[in-house]
Amino acid sequence: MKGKRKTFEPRVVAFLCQWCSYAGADHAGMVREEYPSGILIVKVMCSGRVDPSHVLDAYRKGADGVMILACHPGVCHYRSGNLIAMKRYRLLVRTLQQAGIATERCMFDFVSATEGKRFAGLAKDMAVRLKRLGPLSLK
Amino acid sequence: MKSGVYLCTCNNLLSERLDIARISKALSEVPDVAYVKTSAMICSEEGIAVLTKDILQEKPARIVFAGCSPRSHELVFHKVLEETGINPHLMQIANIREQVAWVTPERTAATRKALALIRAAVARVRHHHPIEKISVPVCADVMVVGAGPAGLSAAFTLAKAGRNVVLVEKSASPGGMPMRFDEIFPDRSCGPCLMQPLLDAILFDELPGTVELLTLSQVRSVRGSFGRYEITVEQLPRFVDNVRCIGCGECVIACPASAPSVFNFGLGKRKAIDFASPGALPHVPHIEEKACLRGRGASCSACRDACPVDGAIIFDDPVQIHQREVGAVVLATGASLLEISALQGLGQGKMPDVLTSPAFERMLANDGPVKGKIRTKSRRIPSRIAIVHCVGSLDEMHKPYCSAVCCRYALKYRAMIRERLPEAKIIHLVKEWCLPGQTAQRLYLQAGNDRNTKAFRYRSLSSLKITLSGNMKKLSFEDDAGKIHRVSVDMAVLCPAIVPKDEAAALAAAFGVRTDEFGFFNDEGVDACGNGAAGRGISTAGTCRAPVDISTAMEQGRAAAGRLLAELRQAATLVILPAGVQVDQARCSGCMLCIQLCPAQAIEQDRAGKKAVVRELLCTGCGICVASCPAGALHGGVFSSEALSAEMKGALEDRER
Repeated sequence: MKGKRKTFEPRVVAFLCQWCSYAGADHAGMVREEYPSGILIVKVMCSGRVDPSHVLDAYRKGADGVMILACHPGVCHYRSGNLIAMKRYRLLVRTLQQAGIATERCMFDFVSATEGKRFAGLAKDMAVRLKRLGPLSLK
Repeated sequence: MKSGVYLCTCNNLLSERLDIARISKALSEVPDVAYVKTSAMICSEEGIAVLTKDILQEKPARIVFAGCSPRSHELVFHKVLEETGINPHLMQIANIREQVAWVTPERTAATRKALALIRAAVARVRHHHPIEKISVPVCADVMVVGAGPAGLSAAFTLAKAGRNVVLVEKSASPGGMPMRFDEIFPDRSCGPCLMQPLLDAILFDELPGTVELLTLSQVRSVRGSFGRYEITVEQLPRFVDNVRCIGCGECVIACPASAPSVFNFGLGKRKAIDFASPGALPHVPHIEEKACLRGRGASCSACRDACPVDGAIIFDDPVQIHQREVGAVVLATGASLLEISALQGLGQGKMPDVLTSPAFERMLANDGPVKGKIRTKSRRIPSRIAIVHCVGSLDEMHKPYCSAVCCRYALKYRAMIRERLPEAKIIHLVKEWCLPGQTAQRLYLQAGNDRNTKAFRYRSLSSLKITLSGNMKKLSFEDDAGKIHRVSVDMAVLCPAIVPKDEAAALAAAFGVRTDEFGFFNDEGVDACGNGAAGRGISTAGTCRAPVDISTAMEQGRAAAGRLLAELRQAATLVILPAGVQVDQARCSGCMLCIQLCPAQAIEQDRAGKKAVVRELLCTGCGICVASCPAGALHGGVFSSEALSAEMKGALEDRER
């Protein structure tokens, strides 16, 4: 469509865990660190709650990218939910490759409650990458 | 299932960044929205009052709040819902302040994002179902395993608070290690005296709760969970009736058999029937089967013949199995010392007058096997005594950690030796000094003022050698500058590292308590989610957790008791609001993967052992199990997959690009 790429604002579903990364996103707000408005946050109790099927669901519903942000290793409030999430993410990336979805459309990282600036940075990086890739179109 | 939407402008601050009117209008056109009400400050006292009144009037099926982060007011709103008779799970909060207004500079984009998030909340909350509070029957009684200073402190605190306690002690008599210490640092007060008030209160006082003391007992199996543990305890026979025995000791005098005294760490002997220690309470002896002649087939009855009370001595006293139901447990099983007799070059166990510190304690004890006289094996008065700290501690080859108490008790030895042997030369060999707190320095300074005491730093245990030379022990060691020293002493006292007991691993497994790399219990759970064993009603106290001194062990015992008193409230039932995670039995394939993954150990096998069942009392709602279930048999409560999917749909539906 004409001019679509110019006005493309990527939409990202970001799964953030209640204790660390969601608080980190709040912290970004508290210190007024701006990031693109297409980042839509879905709160979960633990990053370990995030099922690969939720990620695929997000793409099907129109997300161009997905972020899964967890507590740093060793401090997960549910012991090692974050490490379980990370393992799932690694398998998910392979599934995305097979499905022909660019793996940069899904990212996993660790964000603590005081890392507001870092969260904003990760969100901005994601948006930049997605702008380069363009909107996701699933067959 | 329509939602009432309450939009807060945060004292009109949000109106600067968001087009509130536009949001309100767009929302009222959403089919699932019953109404939209805007408030300047919902969280204020006035705002809450207005909100409450409004909810009572409108009776919405679901509620969505849009404003600041749920981390601020989620619980406040829960309370409002409870008060208005709406289940607290039937709400969702859209964060349009921290996560929209404050981070999105452009008003149109911010408005669009806020709208997306509120629509997401509206779509999602339809999938929230009411979750009612449940009453779980619990037992308020507590089992304390270990009757040393930590366990006794815990048991006493619990009994004073009115709880019934089952106190399980492996040895024949309670009191733990302090019963062996004639003097304790820093004030050199007496060990048995320190334990006496606790023992008196527990054994003889009328406390609000009862304490059932099971000596010669060990935990054999554990079933159940927080609020309802079923624990099997095996009690070895004492062969003496606790109630009938008058503690006269005639049996001990008459007994012809003896064996090395375990209480005295091999120093001296005990009779086959004997008191556990001179000051043991209750003052009732027990028969050590292995030492007793009857144990070897002989028909000796010297003790019973000498006993003035009929039926006090029972030769056919059986092993007893006790089943106890308790709601929570304190593990205070203590620790052991590194076995150093196998260590090359130290000669402990092979050479005379090379003693481990516990044996030296018993030598120093006035009520001990040698009545406190410091003498070599050949009965000479030693003129030079070496005290070697850190034997096995701070050592890569053995234990890398510091055992916390050895420097302080070693300095105690110096003071006690000095008192009894005014002229003796004392040498401390130290890898590192460990003297925490206000009082430890006092002992150190006293040692510094003693002109007949020296201290050397030695580099490592591997460079320390003790050899026999006539009557003397030759110590050679490398100091921390690499220089070799050689000293000749009459006696050497070695302070071994504190290590977990041999039975610690089995106990940890039975109770599901995590241990650290050294085998110490390490499962208190540092976060509020209570995912440690303590969250499941299993607290630990004392040296079974880490090397600590006696006062600290007692404090930990009291703290463990305090924690249990808070978590296991005294009631026949506990009322809780479950997280709502449940297993769909029809879909469960019985793979039990969820059981392994649950951080709170909140999932168990059903009685038939075929399906998984969630223990609502323990479930924290994290949802790790839900995402892991290959059969999709777990429902995530308010974080169900349907809810998350709906939330994403609601957020992404906005096609305005």
